[in-house]
Amino acid sequence: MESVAVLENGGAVPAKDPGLFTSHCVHLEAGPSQFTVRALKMQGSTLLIVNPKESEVFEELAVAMPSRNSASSEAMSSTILGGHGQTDSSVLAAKLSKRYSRQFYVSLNLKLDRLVGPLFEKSLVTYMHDHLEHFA
Amino acid sequence: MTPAADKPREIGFDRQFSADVNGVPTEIVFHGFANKWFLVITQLGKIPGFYNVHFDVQRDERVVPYLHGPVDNPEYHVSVPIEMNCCLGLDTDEIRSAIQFLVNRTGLHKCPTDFVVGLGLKKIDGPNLRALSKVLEEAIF
Repeated sequence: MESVAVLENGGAVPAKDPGLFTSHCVHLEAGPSQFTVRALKMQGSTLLIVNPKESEVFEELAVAMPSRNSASSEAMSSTILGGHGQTDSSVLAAKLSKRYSRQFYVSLNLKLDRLVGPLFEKSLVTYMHDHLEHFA
Repeated sequence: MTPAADKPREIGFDRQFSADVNGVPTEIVFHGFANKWFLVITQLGKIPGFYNVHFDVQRDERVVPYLHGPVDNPEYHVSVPIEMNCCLGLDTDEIRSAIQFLVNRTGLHKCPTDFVVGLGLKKIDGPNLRALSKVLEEAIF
C-alpha cells in the first residue's frame, strides 16, 4: 500500500515582515526515492521547485496558465528555461494549473520513469490536497 | 496589525521576506541551488519576468579592484561582465541595466555559477536600485 509520507518540514526562522508571499518546504517519498518540494505562494500564482532530496539543482523551469476561454478546461504551458518543447516541468505545470485554476511555475528536476512517475505525482498531489494553504 | 514578531515563521527557501525599498513593499526570495542561485525580487505580487544571468569570467577575476572595495566613481567604473537571457517577460534596456547594477553593487557577483532572477520592479532608477542593493547586501549577502 503506497502512502504519502511526510518526512520532515523545512526550517523555521524568526519572523521578519511576513509580507504577501508565503513559502514552504517539505520532503516527500515516492516508492524508494525521496524528494524535496519547495513552494512559493504568490498572488494568483505558485512556484514549485522539485528535486531529489540529496542534491538540489535548478535546471528546468516551465510556466502554465489556465485557459481564458471558459469553454476550454485545458491549461497552456511553456518551458522557459533549460529544455525544449514539452518537458516534465511543463506537463506537471499544466496539470496543476488546470486543477487549481491558477498560474503555476514548475521546476521539476527529477529523473522520472514509468514506475516512479505516477508514485511521485500521487505523493505530490495528495500532499498538496492536504496542505492547500501552502500552494493555492 | 497583530504583533507576530516572536512567532517563528516557516520559510521554504534560504531567504524569503518582505522589505521596504524606498517606501515600496518588495518581496524577496533567495535560494542557492547546487548549479544556480535563484533570486526573486518583485513589487508587483507576482513574477512578471525571468532572466538567466551567466558570468563571462571566473569568479576571482570579476571585480578587479575588489581587494580595495568597489570603486564608486563613474569615471573609473568597470562593470562585471555578464550575459543575460530573458526567459520570460519584458526584455528592455531598463531591466538589463537594473540587473547589471545589482550584479555590480551586491554580492551577486560572488555567485559561483549562473543565477536566475525573477524581477518585477515598479520603477527602475538610481535611488530605487541603490535602496534595493542595500537591502540585498544586508539581508542576503
